[in-house]
Amino acid sequence: MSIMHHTSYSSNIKLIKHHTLLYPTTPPILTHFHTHDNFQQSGGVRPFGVSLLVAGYDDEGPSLYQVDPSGAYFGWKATAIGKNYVNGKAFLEKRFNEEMELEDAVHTALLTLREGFEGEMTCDNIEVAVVDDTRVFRSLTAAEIQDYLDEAK
Amino acid sequence: MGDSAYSFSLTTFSRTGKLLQIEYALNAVSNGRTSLGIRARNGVVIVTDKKVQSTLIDTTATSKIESITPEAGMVFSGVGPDYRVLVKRARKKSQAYYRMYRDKQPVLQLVKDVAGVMQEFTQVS
Repeated sequence: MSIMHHTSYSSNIKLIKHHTLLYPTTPPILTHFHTHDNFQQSGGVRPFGVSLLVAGYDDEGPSLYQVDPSGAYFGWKATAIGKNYVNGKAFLEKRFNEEMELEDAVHTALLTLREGFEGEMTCDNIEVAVVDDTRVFRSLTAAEIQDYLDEAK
Repeated sequence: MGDSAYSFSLTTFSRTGKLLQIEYALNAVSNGRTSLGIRARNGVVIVTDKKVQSTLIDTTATSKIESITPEAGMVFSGVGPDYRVLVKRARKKSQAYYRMYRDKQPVLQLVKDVAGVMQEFTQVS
């Protein structure tokens, strides 16, 4: 079978072809093995129209970063981006304290989001993700989000 | 740099020293759905508004929060399709890190990699 792989250094091995796996509609981590190909920078036509919030837990402990379209990045204790971010940050400044546990933080986050929210917040129109000291980043399920929303009422 | 007529950066300094395209990009961000995050003593939470125009849209089909390494993930405010590009790049970078070191990429390094990509797009053609 290996004779069928006509590959040379840094060329792309087409994994999918040789497997009987059906390609799922949401691409799995498999896609990330397709490295080395067409990765020479070609863009730069316009900046990215996004700011990011990156959350993680590593050897340094928990951390939260913001990255802006300019490439500038900041570490935050708590912050907001997007529509109404000024009010969101002002609200967080009042509510945040250093001793906060993750459970409280989730509640505070939802309260802050609700401040500027048009209409009612439900488990379908928001997303929540956490990373705790087990160091597993995960999105909460709709049921988990609903539980938090019910507690907040 | 290519030889095409467009091989100059479109993010050009204005006379006053501002990069207007970047300011416009920031406007796109502040028109976008709100996202926020809090770092607690024992973890981090990020939340985002994902309201859609129609009740007929299946909100379970797309997600705004994506994990990059097993212990880190991200969310965006702004232009959705641009975010996908960054998610792909970030995963690729952290996968390259894993291939080299057999370990998860530290969060700050991940941030620097993504920030590097974003900076590149303001300067490189």
